[in-house]
Amino acid sequence: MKDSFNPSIEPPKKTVTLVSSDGYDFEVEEEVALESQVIKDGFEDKAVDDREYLLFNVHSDTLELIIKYCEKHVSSRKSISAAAASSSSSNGEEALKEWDEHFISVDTNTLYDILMAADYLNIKSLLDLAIQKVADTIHGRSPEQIRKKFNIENDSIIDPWASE
Amino acid sequence: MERKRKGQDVTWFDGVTWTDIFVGDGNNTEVNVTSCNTTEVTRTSSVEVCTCNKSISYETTNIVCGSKTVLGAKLRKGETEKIVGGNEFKVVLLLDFPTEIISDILSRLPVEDIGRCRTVCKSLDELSKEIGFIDLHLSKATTHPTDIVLQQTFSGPVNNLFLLSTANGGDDPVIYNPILRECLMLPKSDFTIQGMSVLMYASDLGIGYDSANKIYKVVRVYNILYDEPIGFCIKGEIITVGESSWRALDFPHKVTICNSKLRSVFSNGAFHWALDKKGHGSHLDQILVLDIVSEKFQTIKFPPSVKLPEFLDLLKFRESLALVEISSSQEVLWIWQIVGSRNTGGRVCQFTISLPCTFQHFRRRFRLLGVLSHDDLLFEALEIKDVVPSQEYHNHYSLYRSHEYHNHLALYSLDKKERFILEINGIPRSFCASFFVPSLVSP
Repeated sequence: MKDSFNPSIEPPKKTVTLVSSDGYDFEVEEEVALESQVIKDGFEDKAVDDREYLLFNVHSDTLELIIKYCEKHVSSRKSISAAAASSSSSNGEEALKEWDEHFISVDTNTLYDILMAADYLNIKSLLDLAIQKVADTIHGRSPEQIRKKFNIENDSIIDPWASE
Repeated sequence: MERKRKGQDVTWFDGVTWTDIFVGDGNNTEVNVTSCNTTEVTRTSSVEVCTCNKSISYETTNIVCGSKTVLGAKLRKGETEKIVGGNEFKVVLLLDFPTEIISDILSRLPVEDIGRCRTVCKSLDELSKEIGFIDLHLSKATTHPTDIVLQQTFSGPVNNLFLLSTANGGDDPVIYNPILRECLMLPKSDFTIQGMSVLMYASDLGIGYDSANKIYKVVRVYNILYDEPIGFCIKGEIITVGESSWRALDFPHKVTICNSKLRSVFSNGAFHWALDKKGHGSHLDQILVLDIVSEKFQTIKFPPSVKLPEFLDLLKFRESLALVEISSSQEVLWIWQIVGSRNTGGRVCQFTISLPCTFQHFRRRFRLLGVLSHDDLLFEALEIKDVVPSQEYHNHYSLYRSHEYHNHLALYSLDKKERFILEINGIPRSFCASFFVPSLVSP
């Protein structure tokens, strides 16, 4: 009984279960899951013991990365605002940017998966990061290099003498 | 993070079972899901190699299976759904992204990259030519002009389209997009400058975009000095791009001529000109404003406490309008920046930028053109060279020393406090420089 008056003991963290398309369960903290706008919408209306989401479109490999991203962003947001409150200088935003850059430096397949999952879960910052990465990949490349990178078949007929 | 496996490979969770999974090699892969309890969901997931995205509309569905929620799956209308992730589906195609995402990706790229993408494949070509995409690309680009256009002939200020006329306002202007190399000639004007009584004239062309009505308008102003008794005259006309004739505009005040170049600035849905000090009533009026939608004139008054010099240039300075002193002093640049808008009112921020003079051995005159990214100031630098006249010339005009004028572009970095001349190969001796936002907009 005494414990319940002790402010140093935090209440147990609320969790949400995310289920990947291939049937893995991921138990994550509520605030981490709420990074997804799709989960956030209508979250409050659901009963606490009913907070399980089936992510039809996200494979466990991708989901693991997505959760890693959300956890990092939640924790560094906290540390940035804590640093701002104590008015101590911090390079938290810089560090997070660097972390993002490292996080998104993946092969094209994984990048594709992350982008589609971020779109599906509506995680704006991650979607933006992934889209920018794809744009950077295209930037400065020749049409042939773009085709090769993205496995696109050349169906354009460029005939300068063709009359239309 | 906890990761635990539930059930067998084929059993997803209570109530929903994968009944059949085929992983194809690029052929159709069918995945049927059946759920018990309340809802029956059947979907086919087909993974095709190189599905070119046409316009695909989305609908969001929340499918409730028993007590669990399947997250608002985005389903392509009339199409099937794709599962993201997983080693089975290694179909990585730029074209597999939803159309909005491809648009978003391409819209972040400069026009050169988009040009290359147009030759990658047909669907990218088609997508990048859609009006919606061109607008999206433009909306992301307008904040930072990246290109500077130098012209030997007279040009109006540029927006995302380029406006030029071959002579000093004499010929009919042409709207031109140098990226697409497409041009549109504007109709001939009824107004012509004729007669022996014209002593001197200067003209200015400006193009602006009416975002409410999605139309472009072009304004042309002439400052004409006739022989007595008529004297000075200002004539204006306006045309909506697509219309067949120019309409007369009654300019209420005289606008400034700077080196025979009038400069209008299009910003916030209006054309702006610096007012000529001697040509109007109130000495507080500094800027003439023409609203592109209503085509009505207004003036911007400065507070009486702000003392302005006589010679001023009007330009866009970090997204807002500013008056900049044209002075012979090369060390200090005075700037009066107008912060705020016509509707909400504004403030005048007066400040100076000190420019260390590093070109003392040349006689140059500097004129601020605008601000590039990273707070680099771009100047038009006029170099004045003394020329030793040729022998023949000397015999005739032995009393005169002649000068040669060379235009240059100069950059001053506010960050590094350095100023340098841009050495450009084949730069014309005389030019007009204008900022340009590359775009895919057809004239």
